[in-house]
Order: sequence, then structure tokens, then C-alpha cells
Amino acid sequence: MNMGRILLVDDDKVNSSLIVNKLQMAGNSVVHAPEGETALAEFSEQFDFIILDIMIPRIDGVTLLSHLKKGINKNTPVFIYTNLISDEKKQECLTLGAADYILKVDVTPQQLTDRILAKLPTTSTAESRNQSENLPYGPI
Amino acid sequence: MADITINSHDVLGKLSIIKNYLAVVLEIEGASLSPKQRNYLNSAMVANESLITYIKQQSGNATSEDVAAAPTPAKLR
Repeated sequence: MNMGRILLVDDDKVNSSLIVNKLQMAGNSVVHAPEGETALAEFSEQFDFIILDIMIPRIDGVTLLSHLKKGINKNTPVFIYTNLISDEKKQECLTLGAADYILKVDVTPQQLTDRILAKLPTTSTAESRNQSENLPYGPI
Repeated sequence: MADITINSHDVLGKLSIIKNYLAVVLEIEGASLSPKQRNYLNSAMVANESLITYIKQQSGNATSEDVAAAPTPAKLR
């Protein structure tokens, strides 16, 4: 069981429901932000992995990526997950620190999930929280 | 025949939804489908992949692997 905490930023609710379902079935907790301002508010929380679309309302994915790389999630792996075919945009995202630039049409939900699970850190934020809540205690 | 200008991002968005739902149905229900039903869904998947490759080609971004892997319409008849 992976128990990663994953943020999905994507305005496509139809596609997102499939991705969220797959990731949850793999044992992860998933937060879905359908637009940029909601996503920005979520960045104050620590995530183990972030999936970021580019063409989203309010604040675009590239701007969000540059915000991410300055905050508490600066070391969190980020996949750009988009249907925008642009070598220029891809290079910009990779330069900003994205781990990969994946076209949605190139992967099924299961394939995307497999790629994410392969990159999840071995100790997730969820597992760390569980461990700290279950510390044994007793007489000093 | 009239030329059509398309926004590849928007079209690919719809095609990826079709791809994903076909993939999920085949994964979840695959074992309980009859061979004929599986064949129908696989044919839909193949046609969808072919259209994806076409759109990528039109936007100048299909790789040689995309082109080689994409089935021709003749194979679907």
C-alpha cells in the first residue's frame, strides 16, 4: 500500500475522476483542484506527488509550477499532464523542475498511475503522520 | 473538400477521454465481456489511437513510433 498524498490539478472533471479513482485504488489519498486559485491554496500543504495540467482556468500550470518550486513542495515530484503539444512549453516546464511532461493521449489512467507509483518517495507524508501519531510512550 | 482548422489541444482532450474510458472498461470488465464485445471495444480503441496519431501528425508532432504503431483505416474494415 502506497499511502501517498497526491494533488491533481486539472479542469477536466471527466478525465480527472478516472485518474483520482485509479490513484485511490492504489492506496493514495488524492486532492483534486479543478483550477489554478484552488491549487495555489492547496500548495500550503505538503504533497508526495503533484500532477499538473497546463491549460487551466484562473492561473495556468506553468505559473503554478514556478510557485511550487519556491514553497514547501519544492522537492515534490511534479508531472505535467496535458494535451498541449509544444516543445517550447515542454522545455520550459522541465527547466522549471518538472519531473516529466506527459501528453494525456499517450497514457491510460493505469499507465499514469504506474508511472507515479514508481516515483513516489518510500516514506510518504501520510506514513510519516501515522508513525508520529503511533509513537510508543511510557515511563521516562 | 473544405479544409478544417482545428485546435489540437481541444480535440486531443476529447480523444483522451474516449481512450481512457475504453481502457478502463476493458481493464475492469474485460474478463466478463464476450470475445465479440471485446473485439468491438478494441476496434474502437484502435480507431481512436489512429485519430490521435493523425491529429499529432497534423500538428507536426507525431513520432515515427506513433506513425508505425497507428493502424490504417483499411485494417479496420
